[in-house]
Order: sequence, then structure tokens, then C-alpha cells
Amino acid sequence: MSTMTFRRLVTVSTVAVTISTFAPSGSAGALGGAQCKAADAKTIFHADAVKREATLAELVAKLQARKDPFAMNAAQISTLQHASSAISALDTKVQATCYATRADFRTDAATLFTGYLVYWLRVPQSHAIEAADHLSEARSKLGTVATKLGKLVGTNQQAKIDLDAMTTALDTVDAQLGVAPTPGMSIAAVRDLAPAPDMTADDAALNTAHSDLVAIRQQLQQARADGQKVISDLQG
Amino acid sequence: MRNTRAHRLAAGAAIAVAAAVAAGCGGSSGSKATPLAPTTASSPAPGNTTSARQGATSTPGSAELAALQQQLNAAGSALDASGSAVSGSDVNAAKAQEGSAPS
Repeated sequence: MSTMTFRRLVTVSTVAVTISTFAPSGSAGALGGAQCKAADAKTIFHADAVKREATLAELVAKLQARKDPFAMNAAQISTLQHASSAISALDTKVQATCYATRADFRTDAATLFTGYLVYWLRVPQSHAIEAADHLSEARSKLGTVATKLGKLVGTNQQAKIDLDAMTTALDTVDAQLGVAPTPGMSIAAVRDLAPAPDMTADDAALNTAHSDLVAIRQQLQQARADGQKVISDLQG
Repeated sequence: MRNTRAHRLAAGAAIAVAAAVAAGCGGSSGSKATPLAPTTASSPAPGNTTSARQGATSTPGSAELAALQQQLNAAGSALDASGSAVSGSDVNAAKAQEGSAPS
């Protein structure tokens, strides 16, 4: 072996050691001389990850702006922030890894879609918590109005009838939404949901909560309309 | 003498009635209110509870109703704000966005 050849070998081995030192296993642009797979899919994956991180940030901001009457927001915010950090770390790993096969890439990438379920679970779950927050605020305001109207109706029979209707609607709301700080059953069930291989139970809980929230909102709208009638009754 | 006294009494009663009518109430607060121009003498229109005119002529009850109307409006705003959150809690609409790993 000539001196020149020996120097080249040393240089090549130094470069190889340098690459293996700075890159994780199976990373860099080539693996054992072979081309890394799924480079195009990595770009798509990165966009999917960034999109989810943005969605999670939006959900966090919405919950942070709320009053949290049921004391559910803080835990949900923490869950969302952890999911965002994990997704960011997963994206970093995927981008840095040189996959020998596309199947290897898909194994890692699938975690984003099955392990976090940002859209399947976290979005409707967070919105349900946020909706309960808003509805609780409306319930509280309407309850205050109903109490004060109760002191004003006197002998006005029509006002009494309309106030009774308002109170009945609010009682129905309490049964479903719960009374702060205790959330209703379906709302509390949503709070505890987590990603699962079989999402059947999660779907059922989310569907029940959504149906309840729609009904609660309708009841509150009815209560508000009844309250408006009482005021009109008293105005003569 | 009697005629003069009777005349004074009648004049006093007329002034009191006029003041009550001008105040637009005919109730207890009317006699204490500052007499208003004839155009403001009618009863306040329902729903127009925050006008300056009504503020001058309202009974305690109507002022309270006006405050309750505002609270009712605030409840309506909270209900409006809940709309997008309630819609967003629909799992069937949300999970369609989940997708799957690129192949």
C-alpha cells in the first residue's frame, strides 16, 4: 500500500467516524452506500406535524382564555402541550433518520396519526371542554337574571308562567351540564379520554357529549327567550 | 273668603296634576321629577330602556328591568360564543381530518 493510498483510507475513515458521531443510527443521506428512502414522504410528514402543532397551539390559546368553571382546562392544556412537544420530537427524529425502506419510515410516521389523534380526539375533546365553559358562563348569567326576575314578578301571572318555563329550562341544563365546579357526566367522561388502538369507546363518549352540548345550548337559548318574555310581561 | 280659598286649592291641585302628567308617570316619582317637555311625557317604549329620557322618568322597577335586559344580552353573547365550540366538539366531523402516514 502506498503512502498516498494509506492517507486516503485514513481520511475516508475519519469522515465516516464523524458522520456516525453526529447522526443517529440509520441517519444521514446514505446508509451503507444505499440511498435513504422516503425523502419525499418526509416533507409531507413534516407538513402534517407542523399542522398539528399549530392546531394544538390554537386549542391551548382558546382554553387559556376561558374561565375554567369546571377545573378541566388546566389538565387539558397540559395534555395538549405534551402532545405538541412529542410531535415536534417525532418530526425531528423522522427528518434526521435515514430509512432503509419506506416501510421503516411508515412505522415511525404512523405514530403521528395513531399515537396522538390530534383531530380524531384532541380537537373535539378540547372543543367540548371549551363549549362547556362557555355554556356554564351563559347558565350563570341566566341564573342571576332568573333570580332577580323572581323578585319582580309579583302577581303578574303571565310573568310567573314565563319565569317558570325559564327555570325549568335552567334545571334541565343543570342536569346535563352539571353545576360548577362539578361537570355533568358526559362532559366529565370526555375529559378523561386518551388515544386508544380501538377508538370505539372514545367515539361513543364524544358523541354523547356533543349531543348533550347541542341540547344544553338549545335549552339555554330557550331559557333566554323565556327570560325575555318575563321582562316584556313586566314592562306591560 | 271661602271663594278665594277654594280657588287657591283648586289652582294648587291643577299644578300638581300638571306636574305629574309632565313627568309621564302619574306615580309616586312623578311629583319629584323635574318637569319635562310635552314630547317626553308619554310612557317609555318597551325595549327602549337605556335612553336618557327613560332614565329620567323610570321607576325603580323599570331601571332594574333595564339592567336585567343587559344581563340577558350578556348571556346571549356567551351563547353565541359557544356556537363554534359546540360545533367543533363533533367527533365525526373532526376525525376525517386525521388522515394517515404518507406512503
